[in-house]
Amino acid sequence: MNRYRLQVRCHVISLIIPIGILLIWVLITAYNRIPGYILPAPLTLLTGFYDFIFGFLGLSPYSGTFWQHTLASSKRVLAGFLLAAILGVPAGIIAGSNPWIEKMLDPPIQAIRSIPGISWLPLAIIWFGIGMRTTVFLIALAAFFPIYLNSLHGAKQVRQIWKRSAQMLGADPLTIFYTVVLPGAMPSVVSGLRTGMGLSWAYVVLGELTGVPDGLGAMIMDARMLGQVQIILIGMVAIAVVGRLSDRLLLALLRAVAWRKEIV
Amino acid sequence: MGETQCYGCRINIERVSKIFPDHSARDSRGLEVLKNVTMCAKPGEMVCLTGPSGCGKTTLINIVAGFEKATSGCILLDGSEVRGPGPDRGVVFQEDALFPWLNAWQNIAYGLKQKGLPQKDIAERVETFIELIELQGFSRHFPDQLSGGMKQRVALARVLANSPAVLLMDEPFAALDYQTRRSMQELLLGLWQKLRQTIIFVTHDIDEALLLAGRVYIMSARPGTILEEIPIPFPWPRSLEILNESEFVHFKKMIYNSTAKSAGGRG
Repeated sequence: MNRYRLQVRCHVISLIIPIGILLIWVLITAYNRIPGYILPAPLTLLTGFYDFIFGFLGLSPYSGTFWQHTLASSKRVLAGFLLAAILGVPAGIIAGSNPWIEKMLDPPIQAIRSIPGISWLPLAIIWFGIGMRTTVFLIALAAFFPIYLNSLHGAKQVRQIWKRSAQMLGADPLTIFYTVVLPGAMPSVVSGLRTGMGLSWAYVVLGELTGVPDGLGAMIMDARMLGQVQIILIGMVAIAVVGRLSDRLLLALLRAVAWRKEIV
Repeated sequence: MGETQCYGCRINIERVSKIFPDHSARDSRGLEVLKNVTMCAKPGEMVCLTGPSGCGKTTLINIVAGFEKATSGCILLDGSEVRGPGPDRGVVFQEDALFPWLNAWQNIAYGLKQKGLPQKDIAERVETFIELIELQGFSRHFPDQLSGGMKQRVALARVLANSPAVLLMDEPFAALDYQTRRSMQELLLGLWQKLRQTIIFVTHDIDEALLLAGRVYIMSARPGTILEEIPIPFPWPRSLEILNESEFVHFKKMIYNSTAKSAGGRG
C-alpha cells in the first residue's frame, strides 16, 4: 500500500516542472510578453504540428510535408548507420579478441576519434559535395566510434573460462568465434549500436543544414530563413520523436535476431 | 618420452613441472609451481588430488586439460601424448563457466553439437542427462535463473554427456554452501557408481577426497610435488554415512598429518 502511494507521489513530482514550464509558456505568450515570431504559443505549435503531419489546414508552405522530410532524413540515417555498423562491429570484435590486431588498429582509430565530427564538415563538402553523400559520410564517421569501441569492449569482456569451456567441449576456433565471442560480446555491441543510432540523428541534422532540399534538418534551416519559428520548433520535436522511434525499432530488430532475449 | 610408468592407465601425468616466468624477480628462474608431478588414473577410477591452497592443483588440471603447457614432462591419454585442449578431457571448473546466453538444455547440448550428432540423438542424450542430474523442469532455465548447485549440475552434465575419456574436476563444489556441497557429493557418487567415468577430482576438503576417491594423492605446498599416494579402502557403494565411521576418522587423521608435515616443512 505504502509503496503504491509513494509511486503515485513520485509521478506527481516528476510532472511539476514540465507543467510549470508549460504554464509559464502559456502565460507569457498569451500576454504577449514574447512575440509569436520568437516563441509561438503552445496551442499554435500543436495545430502547426498537426498540419505539418496531415496538411489539412494548409497553415504554412510545410503543410503535410512531415513524411517527405522524415523519409529523406531516415534514408540518410539508415545508410550512414549501416555503413558504421558494417565496419564498426567486425573491426571492434576482431580487435577485441586479438591483441595484435588491436595494437595495429586501435591507435589510428583513436587518433581519428580525437577530431570532432563536426570539423569534418568542410572537408566532406569538398570531397562529396552538398547532399546525400556528405551527410552519409558524416553520420557513418560519427556513429562508427561508439559502435567500434563498444564492440571492442564487448569482445574483451568475453571470459576466458567460456572459451576454455568451448574448447574442452570440442569446439574449433571458428565455432568458438560464432558461439562464444559473438554472443558474449553482444550486450555491449547492442549498446554501441544504440549510441551510434542516436549520434546518427544528430549528424543527419548537421549534414542537412548545408543546403540540401529535403530532410528534417534542411527544413528547420529553411524555416529559419523564412522566419517560421514554429516550424523550427516542430522540426526539432519531430527529430526527437523519430530518433526515439528508431531506437525502439533497432532494439526490437536486435531482439528478434538475438541468441537470447534477455541479453539485449 | 612416452615411456609409461604403469600400463593399463587411462591417463598418466608424467614428471610434469611448471615454471611461470616471473618478470618481477631479479633472478630469471621464474616461479616454480609444479615439480616432477607423476600420477595416474585407471579406466573407471576416481582419484582425488588434495593439498594446501596455492600448491598448483589448478595449474596441473589446466595442463592436463591442455589449456597450459608443461615446462617439462608430459600427459599421456591411453598411451599417447596430449597436445592442447580436446573433448576427450572434460572439465568442471570451480567458477560458474556455463554460457549465460544458453539455457540449461542448450548448455548440455553444446558439446554434442560439436560432435555433429543428429538432432534427435542430441535431444535424447540431453534429456537423459537432465534426468541424471535431477533437473527435470529446469531445462529451459538460463544460468542466472539457477542456484549455484544447479549450475554445477548442469556444468557436470554438459561434460558427462560428451563422454570424455577423463573428467577433470577442479574443486567443483568449493564455492557451494555446506548443505549443497554434501548433496552434490552424493549426486556425484551416485553418478560415478552408475557410469564408471574416469575422474581426477581436485579438492582441498579432505572429507570430500576420502568420500569420493579410490586413491588420494597428497600434494605439497609450492612447488607442488606428490608427497603420498593413499589407497582408500572403504567399500563401494559408498554414501555420506561413512563420514561418521571410525575408520574414516582414522584415515582423515593420517592425511591431516601428511599435509601438516608438508605445510610445516615449507613454513
